[in-house]
Amino acid sequence: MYRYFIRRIIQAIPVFLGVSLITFALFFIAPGDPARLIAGQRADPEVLALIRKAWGLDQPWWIQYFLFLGRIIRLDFGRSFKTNIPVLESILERFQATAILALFSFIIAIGIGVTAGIISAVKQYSAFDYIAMIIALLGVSAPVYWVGIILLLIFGFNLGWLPLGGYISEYGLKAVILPAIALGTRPAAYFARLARSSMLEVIRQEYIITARSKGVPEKLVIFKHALRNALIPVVTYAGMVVGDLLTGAVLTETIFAWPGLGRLTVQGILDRDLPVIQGTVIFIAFIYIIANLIVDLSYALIDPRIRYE
Amino acid sequence: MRRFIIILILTFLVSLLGSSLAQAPQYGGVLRRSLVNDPPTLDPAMITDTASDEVARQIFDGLVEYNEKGEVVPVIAKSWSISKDGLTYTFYLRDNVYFHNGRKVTAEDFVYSIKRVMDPKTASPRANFTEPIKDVKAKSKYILEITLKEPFAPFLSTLTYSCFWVVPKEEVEKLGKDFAVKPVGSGAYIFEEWKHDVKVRVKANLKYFRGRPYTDAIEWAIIPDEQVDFLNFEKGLLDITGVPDPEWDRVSNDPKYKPYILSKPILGIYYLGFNVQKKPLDNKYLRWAIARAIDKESIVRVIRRNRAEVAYTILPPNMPGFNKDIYNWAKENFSYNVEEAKKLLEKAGYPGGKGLPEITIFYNTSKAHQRIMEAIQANLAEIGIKAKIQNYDWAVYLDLLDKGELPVYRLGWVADYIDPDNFLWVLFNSKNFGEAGNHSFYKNAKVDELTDKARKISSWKVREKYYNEAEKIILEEMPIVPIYYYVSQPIYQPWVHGLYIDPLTGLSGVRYRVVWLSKR
Repeated sequence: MYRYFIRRIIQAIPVFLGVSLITFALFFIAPGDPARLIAGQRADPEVLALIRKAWGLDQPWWIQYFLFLGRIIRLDFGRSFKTNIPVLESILERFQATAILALFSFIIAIGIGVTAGIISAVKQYSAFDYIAMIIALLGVSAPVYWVGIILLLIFGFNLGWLPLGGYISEYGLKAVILPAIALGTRPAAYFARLARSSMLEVIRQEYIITARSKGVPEKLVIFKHALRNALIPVVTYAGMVVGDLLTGAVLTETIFAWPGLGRLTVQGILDRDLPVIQGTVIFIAFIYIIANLIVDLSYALIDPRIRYE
Repeated sequence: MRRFIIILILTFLVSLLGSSLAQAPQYGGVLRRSLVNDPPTLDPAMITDTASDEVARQIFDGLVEYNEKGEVVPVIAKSWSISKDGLTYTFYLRDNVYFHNGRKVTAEDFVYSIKRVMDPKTASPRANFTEPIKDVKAKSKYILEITLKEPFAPFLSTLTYSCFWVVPKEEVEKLGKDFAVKPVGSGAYIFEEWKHDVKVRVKANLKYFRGRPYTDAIEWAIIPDEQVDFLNFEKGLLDITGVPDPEWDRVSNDPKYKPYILSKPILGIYYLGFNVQKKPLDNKYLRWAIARAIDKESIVRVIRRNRAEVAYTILPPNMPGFNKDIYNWAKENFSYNVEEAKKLLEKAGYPGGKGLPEITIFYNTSKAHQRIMEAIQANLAEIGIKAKIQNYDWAVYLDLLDKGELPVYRLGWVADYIDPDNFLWVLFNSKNFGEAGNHSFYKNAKVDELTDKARKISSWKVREKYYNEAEKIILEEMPIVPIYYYVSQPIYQPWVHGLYIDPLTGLSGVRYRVVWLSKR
């Protein structure tokens, strides 16, 4: 397992190189001049030349790329063209907010989604099953912006129980409840549907029938025999959800004024802020690699038949 | 009866006293504002956006500023003189102004601040504002002399701009690039805290040379969604904000809010521009036909819900040089008239739109712009012009505009300084093709001559004559169709007093030191 881990980390290096090269190439292919965006709607050509020179944008793209690689080895992501703030500092600051939101959203998504899915499967065609699946369908279909505004109107504005947006530095943990619900709704719905179908598939298998015919109590059949196998696709999806949640959710962050990675990334793209784009893209790639690695490693914990040697 | 009269008089006097007490400005409290996005920078040399400008304006001061009427008034310069040839500006500074680090502001600080913007190493996006300057030096501790390369009439006005605010050399050098996030100025408020994408906070400068500001602090929450922003206002969590378009009808008719909405045109226009060097828009009659086909009144009334004023001229009504006769002439000749538009289209060589290729109207991505472009598209269809609309994000849009690749486009322009030069020279002088401001690639020798000459003359009467002449030529040739003048309409809570609208940019130009709060 240790060897497997090291191999996976080494495999990540060409992924980082590829990701950074593609981002760089796309940046130079796409129209839009960062110097122009720094200068504003009206800009003197001399001033634009000054800005390009100051940020090294007057160099050929491949020189810029190698300079970038040289910096990245020293963990220097550079400074934002627009704000002059070190990119790594901005990313880590925003990632803290994103991680908190992701954690709570994930707990909501897994807690509600998987539980509802399993109960639905065990009690297939019951009232609970129908209601849970209708709610899951609504959860999958409801746009996050709409869910967010409705939550804010009810719990923030009318009832006044929770803050109308804002971060935990201002309102404490109360601030995370509504954005976590808004962000967790859709994955919760997916988890519910996935856990239900996976569980249904498993409980129809012969070893479950055998267990039941041997007189194993139902609870033991479900939790010991069925659940572990049913969880494999759920864990795979959980890895993707964690990746998604940890890389920022721009809509949720915008509605709830949450200072996360999503807003930083989108603003970077709109501003053609190359260091911010590069930094966030590489960071996001890193998050996905780690999330996938954790998922792969957790397979072995769930299913002892899977080995990594 | 006598007793009754005495009681009546006493009651009257007490109520008078009470009301006068209620009117007296009070000190204290935190003013709560919001910004749509985190300010990119608080370094005056680097500011180009309104969010940064609003915050930094409270922290920094310059030689001069605009008052509520848009007149240039003294701040750190208590007075000034201009040499007869218009080349030398001498500023006499106050000797009682301190930076927030406790050091006195002197003429040397202005020399440093201005030279810093001029220095290519700073790469200030506003370095062009210092372009007219030949030299800047301290004649004594409190006398500053700025020499120009050639006379530049709007120069005093340009000194109100953020890039000319004074910064302390020792702090800039100590903090380096971090000065942008830990600014030290000499203004009414001292920078206190900045949590990126969460809030910015400044506290009162109790030793401010014009007297301490009324409020103890100002806090800007960063709220990117305007609906959520307004929910915060309605809940009483913000003191001043803007009203989102979808809420306007409800809010502006609600007696609870109505008395607390300010409304004032600012110095900006929204317009439809043409690349006059590209076929078929090089045809003046076609441009006239388009101008006459656009129902600006309906756009302002229906789409903008009367939150703007229909425009016929390039210079907005509060801009010096605005001429009512030109306005009336333009209104008479270029207002919405389908029949006239059809005749003009025929005169252009496209009767009923026949032979005219489909026109694309470009705009930068925004629902608000899209609605206006759709209205214009429908207006053009009425006279037989087939048009489609196409959007790009701002970065791509600017790139294409600069290259002259957009034959018909929408743009807005809000003045940087209060002078017609900032509209007529910037947007229509042929020296400024593309990124420098003239996106119509419009060239007229007479307009070039008039706008070049007007910026070098000190006599306002002569300048005004030149600008009027230039504006009339431009309107007659119609490289742009003015659609509406921008109006600033902030809303404030009943406990907010002393709020005004900055004549140039609206809310983002307000100096909040004069705003005070009564009990919430």
